Parts: sequence; structure tokens; C-alpha cells
Amino acid sequence: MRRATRRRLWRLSAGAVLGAILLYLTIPSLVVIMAAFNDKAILSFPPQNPSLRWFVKAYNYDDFRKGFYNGLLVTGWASAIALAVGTTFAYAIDRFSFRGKATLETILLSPLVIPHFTVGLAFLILAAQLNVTRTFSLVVVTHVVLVLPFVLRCVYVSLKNIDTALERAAVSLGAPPLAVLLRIDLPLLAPGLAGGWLFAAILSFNEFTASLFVTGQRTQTLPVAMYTYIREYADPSLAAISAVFIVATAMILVLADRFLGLKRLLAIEAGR
Amino acid sequence: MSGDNAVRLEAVSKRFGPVTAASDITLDVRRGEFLTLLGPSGCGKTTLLNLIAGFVEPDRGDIYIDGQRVTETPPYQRSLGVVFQNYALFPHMSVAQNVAFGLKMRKVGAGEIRARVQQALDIVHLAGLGERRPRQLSGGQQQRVALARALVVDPKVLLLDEPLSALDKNLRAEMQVELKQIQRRVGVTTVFVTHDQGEALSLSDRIAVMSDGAILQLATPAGVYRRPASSFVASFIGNVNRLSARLAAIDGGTARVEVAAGGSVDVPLERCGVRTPGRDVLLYVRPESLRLAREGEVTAALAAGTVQAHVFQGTHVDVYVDCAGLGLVNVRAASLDTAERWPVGRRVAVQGDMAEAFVFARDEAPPT
Repeated sequence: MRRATRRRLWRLSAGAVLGAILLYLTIPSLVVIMAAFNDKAILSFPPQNPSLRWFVKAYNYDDFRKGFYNGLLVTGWASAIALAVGTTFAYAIDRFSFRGKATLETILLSPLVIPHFTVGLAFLILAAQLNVTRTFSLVVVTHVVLVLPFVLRCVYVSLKNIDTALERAAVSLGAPPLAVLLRIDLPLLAPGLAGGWLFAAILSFNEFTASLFVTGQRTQTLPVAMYTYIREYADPSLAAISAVFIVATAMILVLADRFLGLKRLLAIEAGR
Repeated sequence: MSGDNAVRLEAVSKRFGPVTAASDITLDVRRGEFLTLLGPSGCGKTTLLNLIAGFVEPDRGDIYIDGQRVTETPPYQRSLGVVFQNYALFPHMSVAQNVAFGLKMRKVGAGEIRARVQQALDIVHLAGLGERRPRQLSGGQQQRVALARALVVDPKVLLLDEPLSALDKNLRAEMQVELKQIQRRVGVTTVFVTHDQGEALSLSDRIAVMSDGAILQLATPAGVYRRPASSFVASFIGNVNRLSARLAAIDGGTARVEVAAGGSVDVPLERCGVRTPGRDVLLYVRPESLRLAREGEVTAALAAGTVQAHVFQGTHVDVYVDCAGLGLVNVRAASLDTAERWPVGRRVAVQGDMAEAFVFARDEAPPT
């Protein structure tokens, strides 16, 4: 009896701790989302009179609109290029052994540990030398470097999970190299490619620090536009945008999980 | 000349860095035969299979399939069927699509593909499971799919790379029988790689025993079992007692061998790999060639000792006798009441039928 009570108490307190941690993790998102519905022109919490006016204002604000389209443009290019480059390197690292392989891997993954402002500053200095400071190419190139490690990891893990015996089986059944690539490797890699691309896209679209250095008035992306905005105004339209951001990202991740298996993409589980 | 051979390896060598995986191997696989490459891991048997399949190119030598030189032919043009250790079924295709893959690559028409896939699945008793995904099947069923996929293309040679090793014991025995039946029925030339001597003995028409990249003996299962060509083959195939002995004399057609424990036996000379009297040798005797007797009752005993243990095997009992100077000697007794007749601790004499024994030099030369 006493033992059962103790066990129940233990379970209760464990649940409470877990709940507290979850609340702590989600509180920023919750606060921002709630603040977005505030009627007053100040960022306050909790909201008094619920209203959608800041969503409308944010939607109609020119800089945000432009930033959004710029962001889509940059993200589209950066994620696509990173996918192509990352897949090539991942394949090379997985399938071939060559001198400097470990070094190459380290270099490709280094953006994970180098601060984004360093990358941004470096590209800004380079761009100034080449006189291309205000171009979209500069932003795209910067983003490619930053998201490449994520693509590389995703594709690399998927490649590792492809049994080379499958390729041999296909070859023994009469499949020439191209057919093996198209009918065996590509379908098996598809989830990894999709996952790598998805993470690259989300990271690129949300990237702020390096973007602040390499974007100009004409090329600024949404996070940069938001930063510029809050330096002058402090109304909840930023909260409104953030709320949309959060909900949209969450929906994409839920869909990705449903259709691609997020666990496999994140390589939490050794996929089969 | 090579018209009767489905596969011919001619002086084939292959090295991987410092490891010699195949050293100057010449091997003919007869049409329709079931040939097993048997050896411990690392002996080069899988490399030999990969050389035939074309996954690996030889450093030297030539490979012929159906009399045609294929040394440089890429694997996808060799028309072989390969079954891999872990089956290697395509996880993103259904069972039927897996089996159809080879036919599709050969640009066979859709109607014919359907018929032949159906037929192949029938042969391996998987009719009706064509729409399943490989991961929905049991290990044994996956094995059958792999077999069907390899057979459906009418391969010139079927290559099996330890296909049974991933199955549990009962299923393995069942699949052995089935594999043999299917191979008989289809009549396809088969090269089978295994490290399991039991599998090799029960399935093969001929066995090539390999070690360190070389074929030590190529013979029928009965041949390698009864007339092993070397001490390695003798120890690798079946259970065998290795008894320290000395070659005492050669007299006409027999060799007189003195066992370390004191007994002395005559072995047919052609079963004796040593011809120098006085040399230290090992006497190889299979457990089934030995029998127990009461101590003192027999005159020509091989050795004497104390019964140490019985291992009941269902069809027979393995009795282990501790003999001075020889260690544990395994005697196989057919009668199932052996444990009562020869209880643990009883002093016994070990007698042997030397017609099936063989003598080889000690692997390690004794210090002289």
C-alpha cells in the first residue's frame, strides 16, 4: 500500500517536472502568439482586447511583403543549390575513399560551429572587394554555405542506410549503372533529399545574423526587415508575423513527419 | 574443351592490399552441378563468388561463363542470379516488383513479366504474396523472394552467398531441403558459399574447401569427409579426434602408428600423409569409427581412459573419454542407453576401426 502510494507520488512529480520543462520550451512561442492578438499598439502580455488588426497591418506593410518575397527567392535558390552540392559531396564522402576525406568533411561541416556573423562579415568583405554587395547572388551564396552542413548530414545518413548489396543485387539482375541510380538509389534517397531540402529551406528563410551583413535595402529578407522595423516601432505587428512564422513552420514539420517520417530525416532512428 | 563447364576460373588471383583473397585459383564448375565453396571467414570464398559475379575484377587470370570469356564483362551483362546473405530485397518495391526487376531490365513485355513472376513465386511457394512489401515478410519468406528474383531471369549460374546464415536453426534446415529441391527442379548451375560444413555436406554435388585464398581440395561430400587431402580439410569437415602419435614403421600396405597413450594401430598406407618413420604425427579418427570396450577385455586397444561426459544427440550419444596423453577423445555410440552402460567415471578401453582413419604430420613441427 505504502509502496503504491510512493510510486504514484513519484509518477506525479515526474509528470509535473516534464510539464514544467515543456511549458518552458513553448513559452516564447505562446507569448508571441498571444501578444499578436493585442488590440493596443504596444507589445504587451497578456492581451486585453483580442484583435486581428496587427495581422492586417503586417500583411499590408510594404517592407514585410518585399522581405517575404526576397526570402522566398533566396531560400529557393539557396536550398536547391545546397541540395545539389551537399548530395554530391555526401555521395563522394560515402562511396569513395580519397586523401583529405576527413578534412573535406570537417570543412563542409564547419559552418555548424563558426558563428553566423563571422560568415556574414566575411562574405561582406569579399563582396565589397568584388563590388557585388547589393546583389541577391551574395545572399544566396552566404545562405548556401550556412545550410550546406544540414543537407550534407541528412543525405549522408540516408546514403549510409542504403545497403550496397542492394546496388549489387540490381546490377546482377542486369541493371546498368544509370538504372541503378534512378531505380534503386534515388527512390531510397528521396526521403533524405526531401528532409535535407526542407531543413535547408526553413533555416535559410529564418536566417538573420549573416543576412543582416549581406543584405541591402533592395535585398533584405523578412527577418532583416523585421529587425529594421522593431528598431523604430514597437507595435505587435512583429508578433503577428512571428505567429504566422511559428504556425507555418509547425505545419510544415507536421506534414513532413506525416509523409516523410521526421524521425528518419533527423536520423534519430536508424532508418531501414 | 570448356564446353561442359558453366563456369571456369583460370589461374585467377586477387589481392586486397596485403591480403591475398585468391591465389592462382583454377576451378571448373560443371553444368547443372551444385558446387560449394567452403571455408572459414576470410578464406576468400566470397571473393571468388564476387569474381564470378563480376563485382570484383581479378588482378590476374581469366573467367569464363558458358565458355565465353567474361573477365572484363561488367556484372550487368553476365546474366547471373545472385542471392545475398541479407537477401538485399529492394525495400521500396513490392515482392512482385522485386521479382520482376531483372525481367524489366531485360525489356521483357509486361504480359510475359506477369506470367513469369507468377511462375517464379509459385516455385518458391509464395503465390499470393506478390503485393506485399519485403519488410512484411518473415526471414524465410524474404529468402524465397530473393531466390525467385534470382531464378526468374533464367540465369546461366546461380550464385548463393551464405543465403541461409541469417535464418534460425529450424528454418535453416527446412530451407536447405527446399533449396536443394528447387535447384534440382530448375537444374541451374549453382555456386554456393558457406562456412557451415554441415550445409556444404548436405547440399553439394562437389565441395571446394578453401583456406587463405586457395582451394585445398575439390571433391564430393563423401570424398572430402572420408579422404581429406590435408589436415586442414580433415579438421574443418565433420568432427574428428586428433590424437598425438608417432609413425613407427611402414610395412607393405600399412603404416604402423603408435599413439601417445601407448596403443598401436595399423592405418592403410594410402591414408597416411607421412612417409618418414619416426616422425611425430597426428592420427585423425572420426568419433563414429571409435567404440568403447571394458578395460582389459580387449587386446588391441587404441587407448584407455575414464568416461568424462555424455552428450545426448537424439540419434546417437557422444561420449567423451579422458585418456592419458591424448586429452578428451570423442566416441560416438549408437545405442541410446550408453550413459547407463558406460557411466561417468568408469574406466574404459577405446577401440577403433582404422580403415577410415588418416595420418598427417603435425601442423606445428615439434621442437627437436
